[in-house]
Amino acid sequence: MKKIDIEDMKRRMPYEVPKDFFSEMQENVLREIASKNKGKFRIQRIYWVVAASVAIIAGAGFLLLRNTIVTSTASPLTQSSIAVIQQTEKPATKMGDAASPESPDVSEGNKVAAVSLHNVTRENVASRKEIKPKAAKVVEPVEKMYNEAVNNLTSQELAEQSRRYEMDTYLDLY
Amino acid sequence: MSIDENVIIDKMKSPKTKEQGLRMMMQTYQSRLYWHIRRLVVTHDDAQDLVQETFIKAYQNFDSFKGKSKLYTWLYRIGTNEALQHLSKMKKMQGTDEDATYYLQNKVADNASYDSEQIDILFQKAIQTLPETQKVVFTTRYYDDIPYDEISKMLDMSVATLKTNYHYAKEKITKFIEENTEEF
Repeated sequence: MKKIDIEDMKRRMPYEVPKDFFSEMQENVLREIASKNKGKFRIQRIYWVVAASVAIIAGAGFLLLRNTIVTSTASPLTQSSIAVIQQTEKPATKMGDAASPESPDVSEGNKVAAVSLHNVTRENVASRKEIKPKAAKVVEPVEKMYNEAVNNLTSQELAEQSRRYEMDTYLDLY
Repeated sequence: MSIDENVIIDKMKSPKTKEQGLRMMMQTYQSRLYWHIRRLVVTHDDAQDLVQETFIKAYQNFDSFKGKSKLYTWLYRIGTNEALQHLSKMKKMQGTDEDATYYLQNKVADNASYDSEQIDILFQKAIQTLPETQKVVFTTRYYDDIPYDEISKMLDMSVATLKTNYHYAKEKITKFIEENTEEF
């Protein structure tokens, strides 16, 4: 059998190509590209409209939220004066904890006991600086009324009040 | 008329002349690209779709052509990928590699023109028995006479590997023709 060397063979293909195939193919390609470009522009326009709508909604939402935050952070004068009283407590007392926002859960008894301390005077309260509204948030409206009443008492009246309660406030000092 | 590759590249880079560049690119490379793909996929309809898709992708992604290889190498790479993806889908439909091979060999016989030589038909059937990588390496080197270093950029394979693939492909084709012909 004769040995074949395919390198010596002619590079022929057994297939045919339809007439005018290549010129038609060029037109097909150009037509396809033109239609894809049209579709792309339409989609781009839609994207721009959606992006603009989202930006407007986000902007309006941001403005609304900002206004809401501004109105909620306003603090009345009485709350700050209450916070001042709490701030003047000695560190050993539990009332000191009540002054910080992290420990809002302070019992009524503790608050009263702190108020009755001899170290707390009207003069100290008056000389203290205004506390920031953040600390004042801890005090509830009922407490606010109570502390208002306490502010109007003299030191002798305060001492009298403290004797009526069970808790020995002197022990808290030492 | 042969058009210089650099002229085509310059036209393709400018948005104003890009369409003109595409026409020039098709004029220069469409025939070679068509036959390269047809040798892989056999049928005219499949080759037509894949060649058109190749030029569309080349037009849309021309920014990714960095000029590190020849323009036709880059086009061949796109066309080869399109053809291999098509063959992969066909193979899944056929089920096994063997079925896919028989399917393509039957397509060779169905698509051959009435006046084609038997040896040429047998040759194309032999090519369809090769694994895909060997098929691409062999047809690109044998029919298009593309240098090994350009094929290396096209297929991301070393020149040594390409030469080995070509050698084995040549042996298989020769053996297939010898086994299937009575004339030699």
